[in-house]
Amino acid sequence: MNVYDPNFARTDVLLRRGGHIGRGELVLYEFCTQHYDELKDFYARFECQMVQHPDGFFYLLPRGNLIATRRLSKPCVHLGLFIALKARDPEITKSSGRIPVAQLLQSIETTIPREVLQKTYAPKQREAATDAKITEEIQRALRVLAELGFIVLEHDTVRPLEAIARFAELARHDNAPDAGARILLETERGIVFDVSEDITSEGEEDGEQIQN
Amino acid sequence: MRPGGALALAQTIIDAGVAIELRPRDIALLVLIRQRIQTRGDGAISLTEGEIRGLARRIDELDISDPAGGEKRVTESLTRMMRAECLTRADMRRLTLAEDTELQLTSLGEDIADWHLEHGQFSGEPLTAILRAFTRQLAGLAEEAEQASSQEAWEDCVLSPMKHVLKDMLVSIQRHQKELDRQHEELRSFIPALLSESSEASIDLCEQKLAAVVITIRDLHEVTLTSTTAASTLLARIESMGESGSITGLFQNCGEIERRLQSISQWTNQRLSDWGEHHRVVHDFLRDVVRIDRSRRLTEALKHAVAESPAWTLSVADAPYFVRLPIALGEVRPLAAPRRKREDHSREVTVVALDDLRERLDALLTEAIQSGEARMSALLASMVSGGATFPTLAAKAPWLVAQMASAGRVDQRARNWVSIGAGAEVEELRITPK
Repeated sequence: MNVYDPNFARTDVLLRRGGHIGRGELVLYEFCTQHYDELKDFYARFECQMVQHPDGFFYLLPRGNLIATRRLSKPCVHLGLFIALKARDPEITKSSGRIPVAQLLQSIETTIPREVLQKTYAPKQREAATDAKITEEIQRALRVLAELGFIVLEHDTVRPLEAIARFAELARHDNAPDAGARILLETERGIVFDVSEDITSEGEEDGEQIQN
Repeated sequence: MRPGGALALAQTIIDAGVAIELRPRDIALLVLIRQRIQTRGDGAISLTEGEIRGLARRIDELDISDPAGGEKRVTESLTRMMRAECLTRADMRRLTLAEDTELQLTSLGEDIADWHLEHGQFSGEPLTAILRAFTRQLAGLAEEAEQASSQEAWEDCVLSPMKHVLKDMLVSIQRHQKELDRQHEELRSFIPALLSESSEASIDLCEQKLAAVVITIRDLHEVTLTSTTAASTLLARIESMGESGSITGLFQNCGEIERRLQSISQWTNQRLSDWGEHHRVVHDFLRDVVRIDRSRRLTEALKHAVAESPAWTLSVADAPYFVRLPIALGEVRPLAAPRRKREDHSREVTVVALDDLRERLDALLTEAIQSGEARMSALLASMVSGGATFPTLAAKAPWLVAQMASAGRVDQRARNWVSIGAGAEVEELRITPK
């Protein structure tokens, strides 16, 4: 692997920023596939594990303190779950894998119970301002998901990428993984179970909680 | 027709208020009349009004808005078609029963009906075949062009046929394009239903449909790469032959055909991209969703998951951005253009006097000490008479006290209050030289 390769620089910046590299980024995806073992060794020196998900995409999982980590906020996780669900709806093939944002908002409003929306997206909001806050939080969460390579936001549409499958990890265990599966999910998939109740985007700039 | 003649005709049309006002049921009736005349086989070119009313009843069966008003509707339709000069009486008899009146289509009526008949049916001819036929016709025109020696010969043998060839090709291609678009829309709507079933049979059918799409994509690709290139080469050949004879109108005709060919190429490229993307998305869906999760267990689990606020989260890397020095990276950002000065308001300027109070007090103090004694009341009074305000003097007072204490010996006895003017008093501070 040549560290002077421009693809290395782009891959490195993306991975360190929490991004996911899938087949959509064909050149970088090929670079990661070809140099997977070397990249794993390289990031091990930064106390990070480079992971290739069974669905094919790559991402970085920090193990120590050399590279900071952040936990996604509740709105991000819930929205990620919802988009992962919509990506499994056959109707999405009609629009070539795209969901208009307006349709997504409408779908969330009609599918998710109101109290769940309020608890997830606007827990500290007064009733009168809840709807505006929920919409604002969804838009903010969409931006974060796009920055991390879970989705692509283009022309007021959302296109789920392969990495959205990370939100379906728990659902693969029927949302109730046993002790062994929990350890595996924590160590291999970067899932955090001991989430304090106040992890929301309240008072945070980008909708996620920062550690380190 | 001379341009002047056309203008006179245009004037006549406007003066006479000529208009073609037809409703959908009128056009449908024209199509049925045309088809009946073509399929009768007795060579007659007219129908009786009774027969036409019979055809109109078939339209009523398709569009029943008011079952009672059928006769009235057909009478109105016939009136509109005759006014629009699409239908005319075929008999010359004055006294006849309405049912026996013979009516025939005018050439305008026939053309409207034929246009819809042609566009309503898809012959299945692939786009490549259409363009190959077009290319063959262009090749024939190129041979004619080689023989043509005068402007008239070019007009008769090349330019006029070229216009007709172009017109025919466009009609065929537009019909084909519409059909392809319709097929694609149907396929897009049909695929989700197949994917929902998740059975082997439905997956097979889905893959068959997708394979058919691939064939269409190849068809389109061939059109884009080969046929248009061949046609463009022939056009260039015809143009070069006409160049030597300075044939008028040739470049416009060839340019028009070239433009149309380019638009066909763009259309095919766009559809190629659309179909290709759709093909990929459906295959991804089959691979990632249908084949892996036949029983929809994962989808159901996700449905349950979104119905609750998540009690878990994902951890991702969050290294800060590198500080990027544009100069070091060789990037030079263009400077932003300065904003134009606003002209809708003038700048308000307040002139602030230079604060030289401290220097003036210092000079006065030095002068006073040299003369034997310095009194703070005298120094401040001098400043007040010079225009200084009380707030500015008050701000300088601590500094003045410190300055006087260090510049001379303080007279402890002089502690009386002294007026410095304008109603203000200060406690006296008197110093003498050390």
